[in-house]
Amino acid sequence: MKKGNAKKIVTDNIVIMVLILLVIGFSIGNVTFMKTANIINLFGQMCLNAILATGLTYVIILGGIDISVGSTMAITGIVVAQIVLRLNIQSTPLIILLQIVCGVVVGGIIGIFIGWLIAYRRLVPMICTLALMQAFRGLAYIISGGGPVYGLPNGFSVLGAGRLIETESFPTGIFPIIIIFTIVVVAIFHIILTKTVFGRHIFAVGSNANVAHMSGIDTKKVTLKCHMICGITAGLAGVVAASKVNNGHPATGDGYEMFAIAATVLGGTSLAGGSGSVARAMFGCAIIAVINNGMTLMEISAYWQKIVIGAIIILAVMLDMAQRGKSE
Amino acid sequence: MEPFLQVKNIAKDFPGVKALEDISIDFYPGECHALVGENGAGKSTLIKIIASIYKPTKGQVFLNGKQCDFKSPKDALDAGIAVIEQETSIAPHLTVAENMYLGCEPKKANGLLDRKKMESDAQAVLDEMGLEIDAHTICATLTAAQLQMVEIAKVISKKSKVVVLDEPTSSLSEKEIDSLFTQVRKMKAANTTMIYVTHRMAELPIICEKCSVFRDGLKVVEYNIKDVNEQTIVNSMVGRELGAYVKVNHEAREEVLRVEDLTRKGVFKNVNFHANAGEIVAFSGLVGAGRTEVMEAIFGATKITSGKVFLYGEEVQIKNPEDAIVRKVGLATEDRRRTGLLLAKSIQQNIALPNLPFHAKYGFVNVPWEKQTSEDYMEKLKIKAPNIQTLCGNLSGGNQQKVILSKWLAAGIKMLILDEPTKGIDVNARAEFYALMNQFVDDGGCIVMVSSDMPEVIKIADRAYIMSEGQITGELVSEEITELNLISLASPVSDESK
Repeated sequence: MKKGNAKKIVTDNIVIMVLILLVIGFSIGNVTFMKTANIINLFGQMCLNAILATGLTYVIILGGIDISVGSTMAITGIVVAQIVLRLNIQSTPLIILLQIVCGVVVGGIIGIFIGWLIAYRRLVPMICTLALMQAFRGLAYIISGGGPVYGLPNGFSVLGAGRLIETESFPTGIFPIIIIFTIVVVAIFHIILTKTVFGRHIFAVGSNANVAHMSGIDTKKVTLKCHMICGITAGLAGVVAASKVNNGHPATGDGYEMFAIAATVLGGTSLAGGSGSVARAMFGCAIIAVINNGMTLMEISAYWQKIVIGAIIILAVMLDMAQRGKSE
Repeated sequence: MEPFLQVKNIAKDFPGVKALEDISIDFYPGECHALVGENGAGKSTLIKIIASIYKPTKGQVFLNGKQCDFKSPKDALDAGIAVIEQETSIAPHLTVAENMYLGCEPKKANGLLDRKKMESDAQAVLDEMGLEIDAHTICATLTAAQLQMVEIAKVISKKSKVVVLDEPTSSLSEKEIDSLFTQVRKMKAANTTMIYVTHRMAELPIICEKCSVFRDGLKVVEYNIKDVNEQTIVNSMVGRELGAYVKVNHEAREEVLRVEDLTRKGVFKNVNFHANAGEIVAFSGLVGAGRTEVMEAIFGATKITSGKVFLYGEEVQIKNPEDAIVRKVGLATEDRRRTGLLLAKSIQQNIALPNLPFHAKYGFVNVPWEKQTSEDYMEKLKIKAPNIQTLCGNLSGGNQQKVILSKWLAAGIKMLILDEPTKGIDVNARAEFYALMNQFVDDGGCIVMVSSDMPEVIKIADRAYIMSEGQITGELVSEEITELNLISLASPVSDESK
C-alpha cells in the first residue's frame, strides 16, 4: 500500500516535481541562476503571466476559454496612459490608483461584454474570443493613434517597474512592487474560488451545467461573472505591462494568452472544466518562467526555448489525459 | 443438446476486491438464460469477460466446445458475441443503416462504400423485425426504444450467435417491451444463445428458461424458471427471507401542490392535479406521455405556455429551479447520472450543492455545516461508501439515489418530485428506498413520483394519475390502482388494439 501512496503523491504533484528538477538542472547549468538578484528577476518575469492565468483559470474551470486577454491588456494599458497623459496627472499615488481602477473597470466591462455574448447569446467561447481578439487589437491601435502613448511621468512606471528597499548595493531597490501586487491579486482570486459559494458554483457549472441548473444555480450569471473576472485580470495585467515600460503600446500582450493557458493547464486545470486551482496555475507560471530564465542564462536561443515550452505543455496535457482516463 | 457458450471457473480480481469467484455456467442455444443479483454482485463483470472487455484472472470461456483465446472485444464480436447495453452505443448523427453496418460496411468491387446495398439490407432486417423504421432515418431523431430496436437489428444483421441483453427494458414502455420480447423469441427460434440481465423479476417467466443468481461475486444457485417463484429467486439474491413488501397506508393531510390547466404548447395540455402532505401520488403512463415534462415545468426548469401552480393554497410563479427550491420543492431527475449528480465530485459536495447559499457566511462556504450534514445523512440513510469524500461516480445506483435524496432532505424540501427513482436499482436497494419514501411522507412531506414500473406504482402509491399523449386521462385511488386500469388509461386514445 505504501508504494501506491508514493506513486499517487508523485502524480498529483508532478508539476512541482518537474519544477524542482528544472531548478536543480539550471542551477547546475549556470552559476548565476540561483543568485538572489536572478531569483527576484525571475519572480518579476512571472508576474504578468500569473495575473492573466488567475482569471483564465476561472474561465477554464467553467469549461470555456478566453483568448482575447492579450488584446484586452493592450486596451487597458492605452486607456490609462491616455488619461494620465491628457489630464496631465503627476501625483504618483493618484496614478497608481488610476491604473488599478482602469484595469478593473475597463477590463471588467470587456469581460462582462464577452460573458454576455457567451452566456446570453450562446456564442461558442473559442469563436467569440477569437473574433474579439482581432477586434480589440484593432481598437487598441485606433485609440493609441497607431503607435505607443509615451511621454508619461515617472510615477507611471512605479507599479510595474518600481522597487522597494533601496540599499547601497541595490540603489534602485531590491523588492519589485509588481511582485507584491501580483501576490495580492492572486491571493484574492484564489480565496474567492476556493472558499466562496460563487467559487463552488463555478466548479459545479463546469462539472455539469445541467446538474448545476437543477440545483438552483443561475448558470448564465455564473458564466457572466467568470468572464468578468477574466477581463478584470487581463485589464490589471495590461496596466501593469504598460507601467513596466512606461508607455501604452497597442502591440502589448500579443501572444500572451497562450502562455497564460499553458500555465493554467500545466497547473493541473483540465480544459474540459470542473476542476482546477489558481495556486497550482502559479506553479505552471513558474515552470515557464524558469525555463525562459534558465535557458537565457545558459545562452540558449530563444527559438529553442519556444520548442521546449511547447514540449512541456504537450507533456502536461498528456498527463492530464492519463489522470482522467484512470479515474473513469 | 450441447451448450453453445460455457464459462468455467471464472474468477476476476480487481485491486482490493474479488469481483467474481469460481463462476461456471452453461448457456444453451435457443434458450434465454437470466442473470440476476443485486448491483455489485458481479453480473456486469461476467458479461464484460464474455465480451472480452475484461480478461478473467482465472478460468476459461468456451464457444461451441472450443476454448476462446480472445485478445480484445473485436475478437469476441467477430466470433459472434454481441452485447446490448442499457445505454445504446449508436452514433446519433448517422443513419440507421450506417449504424447497423458500422465497421462492416458492404463495399463495391472498387473498394467504395456500397450505399445502396447497405440501405436495402438494413431495411430488409428492419422489415423482417416488424419495425416501422426507415433505414434512412438519422438516429438522433429516434426515441430511446427505437434506438434499442436498431441495436437489436444490428445484432440480427450480423447473425450473432450469442446475444447479451443488459437491462434492456428499464427505459421502455409496455408496448415496446412486448416488441422487444417478440424479437427475443424470434432470436431464440433461430437458435441464438441469449443471456438476459434484469432487475425486473416479473419479466423472467415471460421469456427466460433458466436463471443464475449472483451474490457477492459468487453464483449461488441456478434455477429452471418454471420450477420456482419470484419470492424464491429474490430470497436467493439477498441471502435471507426478504419479506414481501407490505403496503403502508397513509393519511392524506393538507394540500401541498395543486396544478390547474397547466399547458406547454406541443408537449402537454390542461394538466390538473393535486397532491397532499402525507401521501405518495404516482404518475403512470407510457414513456413519452409527457410526465417528465410536466414535472420539469412545475420545478421551473422549463417554461409553460399557460396554467397555474399553487403551493399550500397560494398561487406561485416558479420561473427557475432556484424559485422552486426556496419554496421547498425538489426534483430528483430521471437520469441521475447525467442530470442528478456531479459524478466527479464527492458525496459532501453533492449534498451541499443546492444548500450552499442558505448556510453561507458572508458568501463563504460553511464547511463545518457541510461536513456535519453529509455525515448525518450518510448515517441516517445508510449510504454505503468509505466516507463523505467518495466520488459519486463510484457509488452504486441505489446509493447515488440516496445521495440525491439527502441533498433534498438537507434543503428542507417538503414537496418532493421523484422521476423514475428506482430505475436500474436492485430489489434490496429498492425496498430501502421505499422505506425512506414512506418515512418522508409520514413526517409530513408530499411525494409525486413518476414511474413506468406498474408493480411499483401498485405497491406504494396512494393515488395515481395516468397521462397519455400530454394529457391526464384518469385518476385512480387506492384499490382502483390495478394493472388493468393503469394500462387502459395509458393507451393513446387512437390505439384500438388494447
